[in-house]
Amino acid sequence: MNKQSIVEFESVSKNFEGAHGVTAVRDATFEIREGQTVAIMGPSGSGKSTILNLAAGLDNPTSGSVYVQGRDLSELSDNQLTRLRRDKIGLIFQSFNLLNTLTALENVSLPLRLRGIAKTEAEERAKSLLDLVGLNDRSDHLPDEISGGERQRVAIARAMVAEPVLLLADEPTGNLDSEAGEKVLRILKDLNSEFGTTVILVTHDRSAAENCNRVFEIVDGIISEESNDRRAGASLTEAMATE
Amino acid sequence: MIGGLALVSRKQWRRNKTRTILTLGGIVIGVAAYFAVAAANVTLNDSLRSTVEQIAGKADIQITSGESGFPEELLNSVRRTEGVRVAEPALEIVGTTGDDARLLIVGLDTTSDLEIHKGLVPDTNVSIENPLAFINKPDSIAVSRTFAESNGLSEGDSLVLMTQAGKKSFTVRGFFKPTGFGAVFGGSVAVMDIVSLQQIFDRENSVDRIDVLSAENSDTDTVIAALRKVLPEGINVQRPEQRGEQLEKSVSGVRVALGLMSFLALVISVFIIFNSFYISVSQRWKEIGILRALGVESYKIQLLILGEAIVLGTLGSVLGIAAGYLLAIGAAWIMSTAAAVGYGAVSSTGLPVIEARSLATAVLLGIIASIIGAWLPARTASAVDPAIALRDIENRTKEVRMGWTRTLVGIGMIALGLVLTWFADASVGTSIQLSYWFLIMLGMVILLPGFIKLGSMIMRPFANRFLGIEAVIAIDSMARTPRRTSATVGALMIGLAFVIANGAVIQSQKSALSGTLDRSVNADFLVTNSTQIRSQTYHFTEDVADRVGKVPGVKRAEYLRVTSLEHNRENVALLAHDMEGWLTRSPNALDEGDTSRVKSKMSAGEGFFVSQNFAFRFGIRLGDELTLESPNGPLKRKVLGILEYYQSEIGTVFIERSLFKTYWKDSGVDYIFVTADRNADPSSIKEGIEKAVAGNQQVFVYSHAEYRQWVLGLIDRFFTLGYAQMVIAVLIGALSLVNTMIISISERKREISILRAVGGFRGQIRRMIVYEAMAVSLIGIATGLVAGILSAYCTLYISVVVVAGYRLPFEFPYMLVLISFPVVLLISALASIVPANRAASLNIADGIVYE
Ligand SMILES: Nc1ncnc2c1ncn2[C@@H]1O[C@H](COP(=O)(O)OP(=O)(O)O)[C@@H](O)[C@H]1O
Ligand SMILES: [Mg+2]
Repeated sequence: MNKQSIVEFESVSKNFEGAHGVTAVRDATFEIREGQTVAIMGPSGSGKSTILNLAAGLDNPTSGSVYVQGRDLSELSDNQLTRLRRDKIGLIFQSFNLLNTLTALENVSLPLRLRGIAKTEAEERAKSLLDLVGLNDRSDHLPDEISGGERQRVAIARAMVAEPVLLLADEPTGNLDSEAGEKVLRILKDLNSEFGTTVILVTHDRSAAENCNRVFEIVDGIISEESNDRRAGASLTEAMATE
Repeated sequence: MIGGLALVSRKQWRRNKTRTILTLGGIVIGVAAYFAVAAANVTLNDSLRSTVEQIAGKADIQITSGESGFPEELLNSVRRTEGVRVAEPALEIVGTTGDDARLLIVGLDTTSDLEIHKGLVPDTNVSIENPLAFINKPDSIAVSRTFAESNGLSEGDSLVLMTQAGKKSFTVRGFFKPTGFGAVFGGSVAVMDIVSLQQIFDRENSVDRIDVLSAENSDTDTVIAALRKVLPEGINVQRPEQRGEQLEKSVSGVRVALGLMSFLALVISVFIIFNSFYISVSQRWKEIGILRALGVESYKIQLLILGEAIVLGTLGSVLGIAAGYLLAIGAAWIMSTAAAVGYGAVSSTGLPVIEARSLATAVLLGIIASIIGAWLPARTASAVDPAIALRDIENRTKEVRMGWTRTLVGIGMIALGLVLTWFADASVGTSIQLSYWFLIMLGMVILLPGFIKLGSMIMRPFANRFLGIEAVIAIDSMARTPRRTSATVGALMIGLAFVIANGAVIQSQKSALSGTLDRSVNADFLVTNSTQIRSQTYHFTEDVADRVGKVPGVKRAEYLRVTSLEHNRENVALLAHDMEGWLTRSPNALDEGDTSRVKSKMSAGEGFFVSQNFAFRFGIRLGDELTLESPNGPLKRKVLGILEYYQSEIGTVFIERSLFKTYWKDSGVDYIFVTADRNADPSSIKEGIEKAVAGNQQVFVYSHAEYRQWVLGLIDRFFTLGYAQMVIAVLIGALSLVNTMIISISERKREISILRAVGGFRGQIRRMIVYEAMAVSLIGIATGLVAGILSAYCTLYISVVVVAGYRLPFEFPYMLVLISFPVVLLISALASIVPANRAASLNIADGIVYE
């Protein structure tokens, strides 16, 4: 069964101008299909976040094209791009990036409220997602009143509230202890298997990567996919996905 | 170490150019506003003083009397007095050319060697082609070259002037280059022989002034004392400087207003600077944390921030002085216009005078304000636990808690300020009165975080329901940073408070005046010959005035002479009324005393009326005896009535016209009140009066409604400055808002990027910023209203009771408030467009990466 292409990079390069010009991504070409879980690994400063930003249309490539669900991002207006992000993409960051002035519930309902969905309806939906990540008793707390792991779970709930087809997670466990980190990873995996959400996960955690369908390695901006041979003991999930 | 820290500062400035420029801008605006006002003040002072000094020439003593002049015979007594070396008479008349340009004609004894008046007509600068003709022909006039040029006059030309005695024709027979006092008048001066001038204006044997030069070996004060002994009561013997002081006193209202304005500019400037430094430090939390972790002591970090404040403060002050100088040119113009309109004082349009003292004050104020503005954030920043700053940037802001202590302190300060204002005696002085006002404002500022919290609690549910999440975020971000918000709200609050207070004063003056107009100036027509509210130079002569009474349809014409008089060394207004006519027409004129019972006594010249402020200032009560010094000896009468009257800031005395004529030998008429026959046609009466007077003197005939409008219009013109202040106050508030918003955008890059990342449109970001600006200005408006009412009370009390001696009814300027609130909201919304666009076009990836 040939699944639809979700993200496609075609000879994408990204340079950062400035005193010390940096090429963060060099000539990247790859395609990620619906329902896959993909891990991106690499040393710090190698270009992982840049890849995610490009995929989310938060930044433009210097050359090459990025397609999301077959649409060339460079041909979209800012509003179209915003709408695409709003309706199709969920983002999770290492530093949570919650709004400090909003409660957990308000943070989660934010994307829906930005769409113009009424407060009560948005918050009802947000509550069910807080339930899903096990935080229904924390909904009225401000971000600095809950733990790091709980914050990241709020961030996941926020990313998922609009039912995106693509979830981009940039080192979501980087600021968490291992127990909280495991919880977060489990939630991501559940989302993938329950809703078929495509997940791109940037991580330093080898075992987390092993749980994904595909693993990309990036070094100095050059991205390459690890062959299946190297990945001895591929997980059951992967076997199911590639059957 | 400090060198290393200075490097950190410089890097900071370079990296955050906008923030640095805005901080600098705040200082520049504050210093400029202050300096402009100071320079304009000094300039006005100087021009008033030099006017007086130049008129006096080299004289060290001046002898004057009211406005009506005094007998020339006194010259002999003066010359005989010991210690008097030279004594010269002078007469001054103002004429108007066909183009409405004013010309001051000074009559001097041209047969003398004019030693005293060298300052006006220096030998080297005078050219008189035919000296014999100049002396022999009585219509000879010498005009300044400036005046000759602008009016195309050359030797032998005739010059027709409209004067108080009607149209008069002169022949130009001399020119001089205006120096000194001639230059002060903008060159609009002319010189004539005093005898000719006396003849032309029916002022035979009367002079306005005797200028005295005392002998070199004699003490001026001794000579003054000797002269006072020789001359009758009612004649003033003064040093010329004292006359200047009186003139200065007469513009003290303007001064207090300007002083308040510069004070306001400074207070707001402190807010702007505080704001900028506070935010600058918040953005550098992490950097400061690193410095602390590296072992930099907390006092060194405070030094670093204060050092920045001093460098920026100095630079800002210097730039501010430059900008202020340009502003001062404008302010001096407005002020001299105001002074000329309100008092008929002479104006100078020269360049502003810069005084070393105001320069130093401006620089000092700029730097001190910067230091105050930087102090609090510096203390907070250096107290940061380095571990916290490094670990969690999101936990960095310490909330300002609106605890009970804070609330009580705030309320206590307001109450104390009000009590002090209430019980303060006028004698404590303006600066102490100002400090009471400042105490009240400080109390308001202390309460601001509470107001902000309250405001956001009220607005949030409303925004949540009707405006969408972007409005909620806007209100939250305002409420969660009370310190930053307080600074902006504070600037707006004080600006608006000032506007409201100013408006209340103007409104109160207007309403008080309009009450007086209706009670006392209630004739059908009012006839005058000047557009100046307190003309010193134009009057009708009695026979011209008499023609008005003969115009068909005129039932009664009463005359009023408005002049001034020295009383207890203060210059009070003297109004000589036809009492019978006035009291018949205005039966309710008196506040204290019974009009019908005193009418016949007043008409017989057996009593005085005084104004409320006269009674207040000189401690006079109904029935007291009052002695006035007339040029012909003391005049003692009972005070039979007291009324609210706003002719003079010092006080007004009303006497029967026939009594005035006897004692002052002055039969001039300034106003004619006309009562019309019941069924006469108003327009034909008006025409008749104009025709009767025309050709002899200028005449303005106003109906009661027109007169009202004219007087209230003059008040408006006089308060031009007040209106200018209001505009400046609102603009400074708005500027401070833009300043904070732009700075806060860069502080909130992350928040804005998150919103964009989770699907917020640019338009939504833009709206969020505009909503925030409006939420801030709504709270600014609400607190401004409270602070404004408190300030209005203080201002009315301080500047009106203390400076002018009036007791004005409190009038709340509803219209102004109704108009200014939407205007402020609109200005805030407009002001937020620039920061809103900046926010909307931020690069999202950068903002997310940002910490
Ligand atoms: N906005 C930017 N400006 C300049 N250089 C940048 C910017 N963002 C990232 N870089 C540079 O691009 C490279 C890759 O960065 P990034 O994608 O954040 O790495 P990673 O997420 O793998 O740690 C780094 O060398 C980084 O310094
Ligand atoms: Mg990264």
